[in-house]
Amino acid sequence: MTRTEPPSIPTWMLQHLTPGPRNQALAGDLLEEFRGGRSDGWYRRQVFAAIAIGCLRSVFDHRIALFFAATWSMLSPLWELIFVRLFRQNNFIGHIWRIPWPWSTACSFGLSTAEDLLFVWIGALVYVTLLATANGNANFRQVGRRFVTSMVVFIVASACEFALLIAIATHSTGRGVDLRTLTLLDVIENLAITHFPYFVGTACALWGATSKVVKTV
Amino acid sequence: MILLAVIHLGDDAYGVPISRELERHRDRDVSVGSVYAALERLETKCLVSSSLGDPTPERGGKAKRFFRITKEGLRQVHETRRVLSKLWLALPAPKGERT
Repeated sequence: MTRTEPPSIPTWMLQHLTPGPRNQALAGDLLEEFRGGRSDGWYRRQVFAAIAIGCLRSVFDHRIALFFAATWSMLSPLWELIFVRLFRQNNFIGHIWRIPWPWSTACSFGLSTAEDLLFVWIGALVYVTLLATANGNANFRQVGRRFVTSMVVFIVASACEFALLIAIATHSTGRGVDLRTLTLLDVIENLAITHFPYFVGTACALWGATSKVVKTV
Repeated sequence: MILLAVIHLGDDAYGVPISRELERHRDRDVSVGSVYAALERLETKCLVSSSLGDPTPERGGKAKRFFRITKEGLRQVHETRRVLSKLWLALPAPKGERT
């Protein structure tokens, strides 16, 4: 008996996880081949390969934005320093902690998140402005839409980072940090964890900044 | 190879026949996704052009995307053949073999 419908999970993955404008033609080709007698295994392999190739191409197409996001996230400690100084000058934190709980915690969390998001969004604006100055190929409207998405992504990434840092702290309780035994890998790992939410947030905001033109006849 | 397959297939050059043609010559499985990725790169370089066909029921109502070689693409193929032929001619014969 020849099956007419391919496996549903790979089909869903093909529709939702393959970036790029050519999904419909590719999905039609795979369906045609499947109905022509190809196996379930063949179909699954083709879908996984198409998703992997699509993701790699997407990363390659956005390589400049990703490089900028990585560089920008490295500046986050400087941004923190500016804010800490600003708050200290105005005794802002003191004012917040005088508010009754839970509003004090909510204010502190909100302020910290707003400060971080401001950093991410300034990064996105700097990138789009640089891009527009360099070649005029910038999509301000798309970046505007991405601001909300980047906010959600940043908060999720920060929560993951927080959980990871707690796990590391629990694991290393009582041992402390010995600078003599600290390796370069430890430093890179630490930097990667602390900069991760900034990198992901900025990259997400920049993802749609470059509009790719695809010619069709 | 993809450009040659597109030329060989003429008006019937879309994802499935191109992949089959490549499979036939290479004698191993070809990922249709990688064929599309290569065709997109070639289209960006203006070596091929594409157009959408009509949606058909056997493809779940999805249209075929037909590819055609452009003048520039054909010129590049001839240029590549010329360079490769030149290089092949300069290839020394293996030791102990008469040419």
